[in-house]
Amino acid sequence: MKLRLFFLLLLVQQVVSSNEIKFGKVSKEEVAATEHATYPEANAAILHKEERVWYDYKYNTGWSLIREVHYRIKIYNKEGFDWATLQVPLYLGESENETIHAVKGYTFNLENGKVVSQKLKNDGVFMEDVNKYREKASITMPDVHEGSVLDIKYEINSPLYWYIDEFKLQYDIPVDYVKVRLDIPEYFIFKQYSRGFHPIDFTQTKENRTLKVSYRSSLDSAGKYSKNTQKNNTLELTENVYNIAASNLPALLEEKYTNNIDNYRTAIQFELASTNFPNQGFTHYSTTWEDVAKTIYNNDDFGGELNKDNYFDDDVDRLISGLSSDSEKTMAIFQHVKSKMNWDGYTGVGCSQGVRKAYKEGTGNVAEVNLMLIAMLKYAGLDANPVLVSTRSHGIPMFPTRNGFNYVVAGLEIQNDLVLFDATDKNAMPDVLPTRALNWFGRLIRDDGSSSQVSLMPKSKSLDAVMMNIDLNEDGSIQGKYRQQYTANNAFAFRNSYTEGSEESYLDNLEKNGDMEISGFDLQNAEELSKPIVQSYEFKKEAAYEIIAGKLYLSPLFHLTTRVNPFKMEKREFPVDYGYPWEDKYIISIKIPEGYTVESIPEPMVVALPENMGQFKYNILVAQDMIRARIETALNSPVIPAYYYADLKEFYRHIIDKESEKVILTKS
Amino acid sequence: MRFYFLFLFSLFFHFSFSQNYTVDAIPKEVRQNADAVVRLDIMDVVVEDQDRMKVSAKRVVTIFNEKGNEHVHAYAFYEKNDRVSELEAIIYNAHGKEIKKIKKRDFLDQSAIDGGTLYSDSRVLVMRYTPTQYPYTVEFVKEYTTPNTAFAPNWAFLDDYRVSTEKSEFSFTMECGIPFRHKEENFESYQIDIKETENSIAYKAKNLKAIKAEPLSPSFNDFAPQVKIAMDEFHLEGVDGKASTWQELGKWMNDELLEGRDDLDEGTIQYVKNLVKGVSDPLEKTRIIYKYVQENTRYISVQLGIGGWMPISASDVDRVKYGDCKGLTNYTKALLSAVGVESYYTVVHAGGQMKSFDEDFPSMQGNHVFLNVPLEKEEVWLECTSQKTPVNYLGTFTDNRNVLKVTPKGGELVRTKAYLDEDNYQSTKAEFHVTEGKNVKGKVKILSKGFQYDDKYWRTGNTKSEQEEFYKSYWNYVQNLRLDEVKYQNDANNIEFIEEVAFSVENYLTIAGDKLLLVPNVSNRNYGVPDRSRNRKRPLVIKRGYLDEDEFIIHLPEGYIPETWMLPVKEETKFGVYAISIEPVEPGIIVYKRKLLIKSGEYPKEDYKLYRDFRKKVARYDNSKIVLSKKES
Repeated sequence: MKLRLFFLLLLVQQVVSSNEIKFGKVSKEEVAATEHATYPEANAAILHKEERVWYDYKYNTGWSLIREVHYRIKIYNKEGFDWATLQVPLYLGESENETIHAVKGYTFNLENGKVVSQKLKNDGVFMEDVNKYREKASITMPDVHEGSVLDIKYEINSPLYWYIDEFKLQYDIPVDYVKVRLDIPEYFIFKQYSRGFHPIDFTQTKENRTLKVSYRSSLDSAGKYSKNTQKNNTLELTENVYNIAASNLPALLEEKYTNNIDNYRTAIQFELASTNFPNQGFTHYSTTWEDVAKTIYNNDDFGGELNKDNYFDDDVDRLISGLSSDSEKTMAIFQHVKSKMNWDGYTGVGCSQGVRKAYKEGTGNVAEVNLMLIAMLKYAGLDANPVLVSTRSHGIPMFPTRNGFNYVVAGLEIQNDLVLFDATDKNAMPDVLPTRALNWFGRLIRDDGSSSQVSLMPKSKSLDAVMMNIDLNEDGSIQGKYRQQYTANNAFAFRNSYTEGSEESYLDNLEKNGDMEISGFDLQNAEELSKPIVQSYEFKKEAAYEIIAGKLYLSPLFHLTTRVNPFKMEKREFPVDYGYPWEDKYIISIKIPEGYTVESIPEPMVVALPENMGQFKYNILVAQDMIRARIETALNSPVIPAYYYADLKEFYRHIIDKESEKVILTKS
Repeated sequence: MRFYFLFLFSLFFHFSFSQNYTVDAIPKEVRQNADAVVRLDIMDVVVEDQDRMKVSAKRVVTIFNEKGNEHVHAYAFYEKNDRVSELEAIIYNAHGKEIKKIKKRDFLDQSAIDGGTLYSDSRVLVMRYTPTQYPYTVEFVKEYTTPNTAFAPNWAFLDDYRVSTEKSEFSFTMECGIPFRHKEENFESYQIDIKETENSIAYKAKNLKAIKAEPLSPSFNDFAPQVKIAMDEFHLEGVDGKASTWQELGKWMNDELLEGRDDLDEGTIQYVKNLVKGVSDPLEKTRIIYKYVQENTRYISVQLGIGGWMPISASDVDRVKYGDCKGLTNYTKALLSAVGVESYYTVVHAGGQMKSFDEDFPSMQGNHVFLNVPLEKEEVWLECTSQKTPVNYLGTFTDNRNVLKVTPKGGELVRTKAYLDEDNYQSTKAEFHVTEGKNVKGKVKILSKGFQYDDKYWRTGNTKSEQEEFYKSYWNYVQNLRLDEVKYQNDANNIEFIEEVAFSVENYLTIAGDKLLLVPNVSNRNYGVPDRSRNRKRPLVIKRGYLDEDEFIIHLPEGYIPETWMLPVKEETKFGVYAISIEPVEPGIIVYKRKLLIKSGEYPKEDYKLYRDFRKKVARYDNSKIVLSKKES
């Protein structure tokens, strides 16, 4: 049920006809339009986007990729002015860089009923050295007004000829028409993958090409040595020509509680599957996830690092000496890596400085930290293996590719169960991964390089269990005893925020957020990670219930009442993603003040989401001088598809309505 | 814009003596309430020439937890003509043992462009280090030379809330005989040694305790000890300057940064002259020109060298139709001048904090530029970077503060308009019908002025879904709200904004047995109660006051009558007035009236609790209910 609409590949064989659009030539209608025909609320729109990609060959530098991009953008109003500036990131390699050329632009406006244009000059183009890995070109257009049409064109030359960046077909403004043409020499065999909810037209043909190659040679035509001379040669080859087009794509807009919005963007990507150069034969690149895993595994900075053990053997020997059970050994090693190692915040499936140096320094990227953990577990005789992951911000890859994974955790096979470990976070526990890693699925690689897909989703629900005893005071204030327990990912989140500052700041915030005075605070198991977090305290809170005409009106959940529906919007496009399954359990006892009786009390209620994705149970009863309430909310499935959005909204509405109902006490 | 202090106050020096950096050596009272303790902060500034200033600094900070990390400040901003000659950091563990050394070449060199800027040549060298344990200590040494003496470094003895200082030393030495001024601020409650010679001044302070943040408090800079320095002759990106008064500083800006930047081509001059043809009133002319600027330009910030302080020429803006605050202000000034209206480029410290230029301490200050048009009746202000702000509307961005007006005669410190409490007015009028027992349907009309206008006028461009999101969060105490129709009317001439919103709410009334509970305040509840502040140390500051008046006519559900009425409430305090009343108009119809006035001002710290009590009452009364019971038939 999760994200099921994902990989539908819409490669429709269809020839798209469109009016030929020429750079620098716009129609009067385009400039005169005041709003978008289909999406009148759009601030700007891409009227036309065209990309052409082809290969070039130079004798000295070899193959390179040229990507020519033409945007025609319409600005409807001031809110759309941001679209008058384009930013183009360029990658800086170790020896060769991506470069940008031939930046051209025109702004078209209507003046006295006539289309006038202004040319982009050099002073509108800025090159910024962002850092040593990245450069950025910023292009900002002159003379932009409400209604302007902008034509912008540039060319990127990339030495990374094996990598073609994804073609985005959808943006946060509507796209009327977008087309891409790629001319790829027969030596490069690419596969295509697409994503998103909108149809893409796709055609493939073959064309012949004559490529001129000039080179310097010290051999003359007779084959004798002479002075260096410039020579020309030609190369006849066949090219695969791909034409891609899509039209009338709506704006892709962010929604709250989604995973990564890019997962839903209509796009197409080309992946180099193999090369077939004359006299060299086929060289295959990754094609299946199985192959990807193997490729990663066989890399020195992965498998090579995984097989080293002589940098930690003494430490691990000491750690596990005297420990007999596997679980004790596992925990001892896991805790050791967590306390010794500090994640530097970098992701990736390869080590950068290597495990040995990382171990010495106490700092490393995710691969170093977790491969070291796996190696230690293996060394101790445990069945541990790497699990490749793509983080939430990395999104969900469209096809099997090495770039699809950017993270690695440890998987330990115990009997038929797989337990996951991530030592990059001090508060992580077995099977409690940081939210960043709770994305899509993982791939477990075994020693022989074979691999299989595994689920990363926590198997058990994270609990938030509250017990609260309340005494009512006559002035509308209450005092109470409060005990709260967190398990799994809830406990993990609590520990992370708690350890960020001092205990004093934590208490200040607790008092502030609950608007109450707290005493006798006690926190258990803050560092005993295998046990639940238990916090307890006594509190006093003013104006916690209402007295109207001598009667007491109270919501039995007091400040725990859910007051605001997180889902306010009428419609939703994308699934709601909670990250992990959870359950809230509140048990509340309220003492009925002397001389009062219960005049009315809410009815018990149960509501559930479809397909057992979640339920809400509300139970309340009077027992002698006590009111006892038990309210349980559970979300069994962390991802709720968009087509159940109305149900989810309604679910919350029931929760809010029910929880706001009052108990009325009257003087007896 | 870069009218901006890119110089960070706390940076660097090379000392050869070794230090005891164990955490245990921190005195107890300095450790208290601190996420980070600045163990040692030394900066020596030597002005070798009008265009050569050498800064040597050393800073040692102990970090106790993640929140403390932001106070390491191991970075060096630099401009094209600056030279960072030394940069090094050493990390120590809690026992003062060295665990890592970070050399200059290991610092990350990146561009220092903030979000609002498209391009600037400012750069920064940043230390890259992942803390491996807490607490840890960073010793950071830096030395640089800059030609830009217009910004002589200021010095803060305390960094921020929850940061204490064990030892702080600052010296400023003038080697080339230029007169300089210094000003000590908020030294009263601190013991800070001052040593002055003919050509230098030096400060030493010890054991400054960490300060906890308090809600509605004066700004940190209003009570934290600091030193300001300014030179009477200075240099800025290739331009020399001389000024010891605001008048002289303004004169310098006018002559060196503005003069000759206002040329326009003849075509443009003719064009705008045509625009104002037949108009003689200078205010009307100003409106026409400002409208032309708003419709034809946009804000793009590019800061290169002296361009951080000097506007791009009016003719360049005229061609590309974009610019930063300096460029657009200078352009508007040139256009106004073309139609015979005089106006002045004005430097301001923009932002909600109402930060004023210091009258007694003329120096390069501020972060923004806008335009002053002195008309006969009043001074009119123009915010030239906005395509939406009305003529003479300052909002919370530039209201009520000292700003520097730059005129050909020189600088002039003037105060911008203040919005008085009642000027910040909002009226909400509504009529609601209770339908099907528990639902509510109605229409609300909200009129806003003063700074309450500021919150709203930019919303005219919102899409339907943005409107939906806005009102559902504005009335987030009303569940199950459905927007029907939203209409906006922006009266820019009178600076008034009207919203007309129709909506319906399911289950607005709560069931309690066979009775219904109704909160008559459907659409302007104020739950804003300031946070608890124990052992309050500093005064209560209400920066801006406001007045809300509400009138809701409510048609009760068929068959129900109010069982209880709310008594009229009137709370009058020194902080303001709150009054509500509810009355029957005719059978089945009631009218709810509400008034909330909050008065701006500074009140003694003892008043904080009283103010909080007042706001608690407001929150409680705004949520109070009436009980409806079935009419006995």
